[in-house]
Amino acid sequence: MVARVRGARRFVAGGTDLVVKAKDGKLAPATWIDVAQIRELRGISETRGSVVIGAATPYTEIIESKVVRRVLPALVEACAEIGSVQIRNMGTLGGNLANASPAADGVVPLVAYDAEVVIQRGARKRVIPAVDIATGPGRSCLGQDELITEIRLAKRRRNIAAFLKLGPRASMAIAKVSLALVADLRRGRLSDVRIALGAVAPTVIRATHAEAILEGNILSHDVIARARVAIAESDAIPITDFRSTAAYRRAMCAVLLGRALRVNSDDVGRSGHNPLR
Amino acid sequence: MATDEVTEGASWIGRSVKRADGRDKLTGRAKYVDDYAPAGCLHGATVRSAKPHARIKRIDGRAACRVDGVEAVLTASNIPGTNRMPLIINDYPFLADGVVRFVGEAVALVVAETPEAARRAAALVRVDYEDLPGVFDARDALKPGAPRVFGEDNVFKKFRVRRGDVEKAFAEADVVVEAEFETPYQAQAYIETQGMLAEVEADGTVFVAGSMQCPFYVHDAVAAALGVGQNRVRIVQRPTGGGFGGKEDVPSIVAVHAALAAHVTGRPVKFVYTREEDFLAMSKRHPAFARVKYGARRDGTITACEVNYILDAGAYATLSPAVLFRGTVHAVGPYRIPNVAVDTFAVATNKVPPGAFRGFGQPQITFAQESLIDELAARLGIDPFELREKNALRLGDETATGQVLRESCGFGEALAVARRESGWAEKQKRGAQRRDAETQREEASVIAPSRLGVLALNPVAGAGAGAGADAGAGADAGAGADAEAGAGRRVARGIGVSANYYGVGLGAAGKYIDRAGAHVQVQKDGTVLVAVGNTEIGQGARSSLCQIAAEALGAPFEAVHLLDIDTTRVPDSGPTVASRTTLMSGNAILDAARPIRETLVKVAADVLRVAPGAVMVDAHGYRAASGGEALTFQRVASEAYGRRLPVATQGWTVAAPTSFDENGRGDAYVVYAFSVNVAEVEVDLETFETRVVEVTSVHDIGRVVNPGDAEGQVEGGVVQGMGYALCEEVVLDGAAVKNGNFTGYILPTMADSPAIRVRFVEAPYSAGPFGAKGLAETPIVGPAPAIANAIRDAVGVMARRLPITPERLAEMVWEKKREKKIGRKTEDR
Ligand SMILES: Cc1cc2nc3c(=O)[nH]c(=O)nc-3n(C[C@H](O)[C@H](O)[C@H](O)COP(=O)(O)OP(=O)(O)OC[C@H]3O[C@@H](n4cnc5c(N)ncnc54)[C@H](O)[C@@H]3O)c2cc1C
Repeated sequence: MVARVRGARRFVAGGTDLVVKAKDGKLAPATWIDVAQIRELRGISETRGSVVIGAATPYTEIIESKVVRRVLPALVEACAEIGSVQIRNMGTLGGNLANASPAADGVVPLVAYDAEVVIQRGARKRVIPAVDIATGPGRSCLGQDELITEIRLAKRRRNIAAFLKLGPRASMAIAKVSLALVADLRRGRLSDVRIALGAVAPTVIRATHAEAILEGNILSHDVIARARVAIAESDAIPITDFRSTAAYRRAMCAVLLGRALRVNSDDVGRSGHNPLR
Repeated sequence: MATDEVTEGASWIGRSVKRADGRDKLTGRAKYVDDYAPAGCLHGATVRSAKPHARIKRIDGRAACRVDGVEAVLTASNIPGTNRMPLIINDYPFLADGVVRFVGEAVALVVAETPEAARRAAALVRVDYEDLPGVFDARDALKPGAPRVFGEDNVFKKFRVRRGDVEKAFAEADVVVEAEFETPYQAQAYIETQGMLAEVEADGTVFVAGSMQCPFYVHDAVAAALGVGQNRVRIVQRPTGGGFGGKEDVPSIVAVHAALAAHVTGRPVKFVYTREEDFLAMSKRHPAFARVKYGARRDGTITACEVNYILDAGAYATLSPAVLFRGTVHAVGPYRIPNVAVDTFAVATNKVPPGAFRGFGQPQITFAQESLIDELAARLGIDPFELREKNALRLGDETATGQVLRESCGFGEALAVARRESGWAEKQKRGAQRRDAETQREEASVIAPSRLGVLALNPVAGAGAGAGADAGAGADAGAGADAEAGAGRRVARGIGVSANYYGVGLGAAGKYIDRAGAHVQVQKDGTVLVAVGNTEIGQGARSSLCQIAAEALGAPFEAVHLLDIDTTRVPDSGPTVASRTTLMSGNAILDAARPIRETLVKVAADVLRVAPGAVMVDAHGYRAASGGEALTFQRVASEAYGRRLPVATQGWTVAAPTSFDENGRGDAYVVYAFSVNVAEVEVDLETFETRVVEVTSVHDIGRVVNPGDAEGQVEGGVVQGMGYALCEEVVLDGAAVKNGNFTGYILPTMADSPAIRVRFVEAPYSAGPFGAKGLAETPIVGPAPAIANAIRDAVGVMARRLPITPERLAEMVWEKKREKKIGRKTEDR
């Protein structure tokens, strides 16, 4: 069907990025192909080992999904922070991924959850890790006519999950820094640690230095302190622009990491289980 | 007529009647300028300068003309009349003639069948420039040898105020505090962008309708630019989606563009700006620099104040002289200070010209001056509230300009109400105890890990990985924090106060245009038409003016209809600015209503068979003082018609005299409103985000005509003031606006808004309608310094620059910590 559209063409899902860019005159004229109504691209399903989210499923549906709330709490927290009710009723993870903003809130937990993105062009399918979709600010690895169809997330035993975002105001905010953390904490020891950062690099990134410090270690003050330094000094490579400063962004990576660990470890410590689950 | 004529509960004044325009605006039925599309209407787009300062060598519109649907490309040479906006200093060309002076200045116009074609063609107009040196900082512009934007010295206007002997007073003072402050461009951010629709009517009258605050400014501008008589220009205000000053002067430019295009093409032409265009080229609040110095005796008596205040006025003068005047008069704060030296300057730079914005030159200097009052309080060891109370202007006192406050000064009461209602005493005590504890702890913890773990991570501090051990995991409960705010956040609470006064009306700077007219006409059926020259721009003028008319006539509020404003219906009433509408148009309505009321009283006396002196008038109608049934207004009106009596009249009012001499002495404004704001904030001790928890906003505005609308005004002002304090800033990249849309320009949302407690103190003004003064602007003046002072209370640093973003606050706190550390190290040696 796509091939039948002659000349320049683009996919549109919620249009919440595309319409803004078009109004700014930043887009070359093209035929827009609405993918939001394609049944295969919508909805959330669960298998024994994974959760599959259709690329054109609006955020509101993700937030309200029982299975996502149970298995992927950090994703729910992130989606709930996006824009406003109106934006969440329209916007999609497919659009968030393809738009390739370094501040994409939906992408940050996807990266922390090791999400895999299924991309299709005609009959050809490929599967790419969420962290590799964006190749630079506004640039993605998607080729002409490549459609994101779904996002696959493996179910894993982890009792820590957090998404934290700092924006310039309480709502309707583009992140200055965002962080997602998932890990498993047993008897004070962390494992399976994944940390993703938004808005502090040309794309959403993994905080591998901090992860390495935390992985397999007892969650002591010293370990946390070293991880905080690592995330601020080694993982984050932020810039100064009119939204924030590099120095602040760096420092806030450490704050958000500390906060994510603090909230979760406190909760785990108190009640023995993660209340988010 | 005196208010005491009105019986209890029978008055329209002081009632929260429903807004007449509320339903239409809420349901979308109100028709704004862009909702009008007369047959054959063309659409305009504006070609804007890409250069901050350059000579125009050539404008080539040939490519633009070839675009399908383009009807005309117009430049300055098409303007038949005067190519200068008539205002204070007539320097602002409607279309650049020869030189451009800021990025975004209008250079040419394109009109086409569709807005898209017009925009596309506008992008094709080629302008060849020869660059000229530019200047982008007002302080640089004052230096000798700076590139010249205006006149010999880049100074549009300067004022001075001299009182007593400041030098001597500072020398004798026990405590002297001094600091420099800086504030940014703030955008009015009205919801409806600028827009005008012009049409040449069959008889040649130029008709312009659109979004505006000041129809008579537009009237002057269109007549001047087209070179036609003012009696051949008709300006109509459409429902206006906000103004806040942004629809004061610059709509004249938009209107002239539309009128010029209509005049040349003979067809209706509409210009509606995009948000980006509006940000780029329209007016804003002036960025400002201020150096303020106070001297006081040990007992807290303020003895001297010196102010140096610079407004960055951009490329053209616009209203800057008047904005500067208001800032000058109020520069030292609402205090009794015997020795004053104020020097103020409005300075030209190659940037977008700011103009009017709610507060009009006061919020900048009040932020500076009220922040420094708290510094003074801290240095004196006096409670900031007490220091203000001690020095507050009272009845009989002289202001900085030597104006004696003869009446209507509810400042003392406003301070008392604010102190009580905000719970200042307990909250302030709590903070003081915390600070004592903190100081002790800090002294005891020279080697203990910092409670602000982030400090060690601040890369600017040069503290790298090695200092990481210093970074507490945050598991400790946050020694300095007042509260765990949930989600692991540690916050410090703070409370701050600010006080301000506000000269109602145009004052001495605008006295020659401070008059207003009204037309009141009672109909046969007892309904009433009222026409005034001041506009409804969302502030609720329509309701209050109808209430004043109803009260004056003894008519039901529902029977009064205020006409949409049309310059052919009422005489020039000056601008709708300076919180002057209730006062000026209100008085004009009273003047018009007086003879009608006298007539109606006579008629009623006749019907009731009593003497005119024995007739009582109230919201229920006309009755005999001795009792009995009231005659409805409708009945009395109909009786008056039957007797062929005049019930249609013109009213006129002129502001009381004002003055201001070359040394800043005089009665600068007719009367002052007084405000006290108390803000409570929560500062996150790790992210330095500030949340305003609660604001108590107390105002003496004289008699309150409509409490509901008045409260709305205050709430809006508080949130706008909070935006100014914490997040709003139009960022310029040297010359051009960088964040010119609502993605980049951060306005507070409802989720950011604090709980707001509004209180009014009513010190009636004898020359105001039923004792009213004015309200619109004063609510935005105080919140920013109150919030800044609350932040200071929470984290111990005084912000010298707005907005107080988390980034700036973090830097300040980090810097203070570094200084302390260095201090300790040197002490250790
Ligand atoms: C007011 C406002 C607030 C916002 N707030 C936030 C926020 O807080 N956080 C945040 O992260 N974002 C925010 N956004 C941005 C935007 O809403 C999100 O990025 C959203 O996820 C985009 O999804 P969409 O479906 O609307 O994308 P669209 O606008 O439809 O598309 C965006 C891009 O993705 C491509 N695309 C869409 N779907 C697919 C697909 N299935 N396969 C391949 N390519 C595709 C399109 O061609 C286009 O290039 C905000 C936007 C607005 C207007």
